[in-house]
Amino acid sequence: MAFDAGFLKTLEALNLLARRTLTGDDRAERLTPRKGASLEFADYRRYTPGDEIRYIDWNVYARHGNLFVKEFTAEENIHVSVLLDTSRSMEFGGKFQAAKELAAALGYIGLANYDTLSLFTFGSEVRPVKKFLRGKGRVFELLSAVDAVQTEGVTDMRRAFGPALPRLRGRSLILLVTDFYDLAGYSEGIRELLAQRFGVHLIHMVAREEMTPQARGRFSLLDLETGRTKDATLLPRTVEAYSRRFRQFCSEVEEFGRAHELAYARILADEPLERRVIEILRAGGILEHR
Amino acid sequence: MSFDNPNGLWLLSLAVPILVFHFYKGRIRKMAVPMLLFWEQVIVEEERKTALKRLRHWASLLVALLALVILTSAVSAPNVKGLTRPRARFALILDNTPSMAAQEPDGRTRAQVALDRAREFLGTLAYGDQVSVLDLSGARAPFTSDLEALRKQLAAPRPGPRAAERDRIADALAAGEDVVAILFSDQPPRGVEDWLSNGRLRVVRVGTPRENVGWISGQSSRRPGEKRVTLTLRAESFSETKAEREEVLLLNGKTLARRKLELEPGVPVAREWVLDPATYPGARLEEGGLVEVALEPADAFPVDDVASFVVPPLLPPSVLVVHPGAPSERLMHALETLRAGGLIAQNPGVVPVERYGSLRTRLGEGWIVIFDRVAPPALPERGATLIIGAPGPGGVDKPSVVDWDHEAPPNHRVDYAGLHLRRSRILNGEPLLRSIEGPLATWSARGGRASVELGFPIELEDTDIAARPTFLLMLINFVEWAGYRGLRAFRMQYEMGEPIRAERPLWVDDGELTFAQGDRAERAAVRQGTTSTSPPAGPGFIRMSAAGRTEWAAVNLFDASESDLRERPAGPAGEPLPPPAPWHAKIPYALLAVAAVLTLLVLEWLLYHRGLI
Repeated sequence: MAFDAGFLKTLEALNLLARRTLTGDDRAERLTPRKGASLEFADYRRYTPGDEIRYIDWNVYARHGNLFVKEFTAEENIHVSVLLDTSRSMEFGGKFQAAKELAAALGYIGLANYDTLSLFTFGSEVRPVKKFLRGKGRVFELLSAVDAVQTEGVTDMRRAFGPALPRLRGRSLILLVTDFYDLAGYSEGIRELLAQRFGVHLIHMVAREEMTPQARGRFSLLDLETGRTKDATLLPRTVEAYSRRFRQFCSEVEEFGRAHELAYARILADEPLERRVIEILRAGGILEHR
Repeated sequence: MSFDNPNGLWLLSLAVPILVFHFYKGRIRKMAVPMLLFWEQVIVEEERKTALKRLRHWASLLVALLALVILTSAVSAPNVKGLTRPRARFALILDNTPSMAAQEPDGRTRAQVALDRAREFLGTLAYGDQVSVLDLSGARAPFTSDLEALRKQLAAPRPGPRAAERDRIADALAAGEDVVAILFSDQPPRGVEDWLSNGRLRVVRVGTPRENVGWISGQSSRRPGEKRVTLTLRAESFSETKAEREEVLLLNGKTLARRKLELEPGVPVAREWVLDPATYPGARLEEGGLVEVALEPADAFPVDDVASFVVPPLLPPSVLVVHPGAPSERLMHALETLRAGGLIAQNPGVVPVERYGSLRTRLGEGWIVIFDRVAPPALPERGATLIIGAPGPGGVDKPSVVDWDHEAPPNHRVDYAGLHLRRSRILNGEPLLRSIEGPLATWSARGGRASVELGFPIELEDTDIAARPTFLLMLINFVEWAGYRGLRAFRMQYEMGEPIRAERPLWVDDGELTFAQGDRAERAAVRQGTTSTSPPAGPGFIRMSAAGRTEWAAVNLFDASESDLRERPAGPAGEPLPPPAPWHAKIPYALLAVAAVLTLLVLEWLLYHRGLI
């Protein structure tokens, strides 16, 4: 996997949005709830011995006769975790390759903004692939790590996200890149993430063939995740009914995101990568121009 | 069960590709899906909807095979005893002889009655039967199974002769052993007993016996030099009682005279009319025209009630002699003799060849130009020319006359035997007079132009022809012929039903000729002076015109056997007409089959591909 220089420049002009304010480990450009040394005024506090004298507001002292020091918002980085669905259903219609490319692109946006980046895969459990990458220079490490990821198993988000993600509790923005196919239900798993106070963005990978299948006739349908088969005659109206059901499913996911104030983007796998990034930008709430 | 078209059964072999395709499209293919859940939800819904789902696959095959069987049956046309009858082919022969123009008491002609009977017969035929329509002139419409269209197109044929009746029936039957000819006629056919007995010819008699009076013969005659024409006619009454009529003489539609005519049954009466300009002053009879002698009042068969004649102009032609410096004395003497006999209009005009060019455009039909020892610089556009001893190459000394064309009009009763010639040119063209070396004189005629050329002068030092009656006789013949008859491409008289064909090349080489009779006109293409078609003549006058020139011809029946409309012997009885086809035999099975096939294919598409059931 490789990105050309022009595309990297495009990515560098973007920034990952976090709907809730998160704290990081290092100074950076992102405002946090912590007080720090930025130019952004936050509040006044009574002077206590040991405070820096240069932060005392002498104008307030002249009016009230009490000493107050000015506090400023700290500017830090955040931790960005990309959770990439590696279940077998992602193999369908090139979704997995598209998801990997997207994960790498979004990861690079985080690196370019001095955020700390971790890459996890998940199916029925979360597996770390790369942790705590910082700086654009780690992009090649990221790309080769993404490249090496393979599909396996089934999706079970509840089981995967139930245990706390290691060293990330409450401090990470999670980009969940998945097709949301979870027989046990995707919602419980995501709620687990929210309960751990993660900021979560939903990126829904969709293949065109699964939206509007073209096949007609008699088929033995093979479930990629479970390996189960079913013989069926695909009539036009059967396919229409399936398409309706699928659109309903997409709407359900979107509605779920809206209900929990999560940003949601539906991405067609066969679109070019640039177009996919633009689609995420257009969906709103996940990316912004710097 | 038999089949009209057993080859159509080969269509059944299409069942093989249908089966192959059916099982090919029915095979189960593998398809990976990301998750079965949604598919299972909708497929379960489908399965709930109908119990026929499992039968759909086989129903589709059944429908396709059924469509094939129906299509095959439509093409192979099976004959099932008691349900269908073999397809038949009929040749309808419509009598178009003149007597079919006789009117019936209800006002229709016999031809119209025959047409109505033919239409009725077409209405009794089964779907798929084929019919061809002919007339006794040989006109033929090809076999068709579109009987409704044929019924609408059926029209009375144009009149024609009865002479080749057996040949026409033979033509109709020659289309195939299965063809049955049906003759719609007012007279029993003759010499067809063999076909009547074996059922291949059926006769439908039309027409009720009628009484009739009409002209049964007629001719016009005129002696050379005479300024009058004599019409000789014969009338006959074909009835049981004495008939009284009035003869009416008309010139160009204008009545000149009337007289009574009484006719005893079965006794022909000769009548004569002398058309002398002196008898009818002011009628301009000398200019010629269209003369009719009508019997009034007209009866049920008007065709023979009028005798028509084209009368040529009675004025003799004018003559112009073109000479090299002085006209031949011998020629001038001969012309003087002709003028004295009234064969030419006046003293001939005499001009040196240098002046001919200025006169040429004024010359036309009614003029005879004689080129005396000069080669014509250009022939006149119209009219007759006589070229005598024109200088030129190809001369021979003392040629011996070996033969002459006795049938050529200028040679009528002329004897060239023993003619002495000192020198003559050998000419190209239709020989009038022949020597061992070649033609010494030639003749030619086409519409508007007639010409004779002698290869030698008529001076005494050249030949002794002028000293014998031969030359004068030839000259009289030439003037009489070239004054009018020789300039005509068409005959003046035709028999009713006879094709109007030109006897000589037309006056136009290429173009179009219009035949007009009454309010009916027909155009024929002209190629190399002949027409591509020749319409059959109806009674009366017919006008042929092209490029500003017109010729008229008269058409008469003059046939006692056709004029006799009384009861005829029944003739040998043939088999009756085939019985009407049952109602189900009239159903257009092929169309229904195609509609059924289309319906089945749509059904199959809905059934299998749309899954509506």
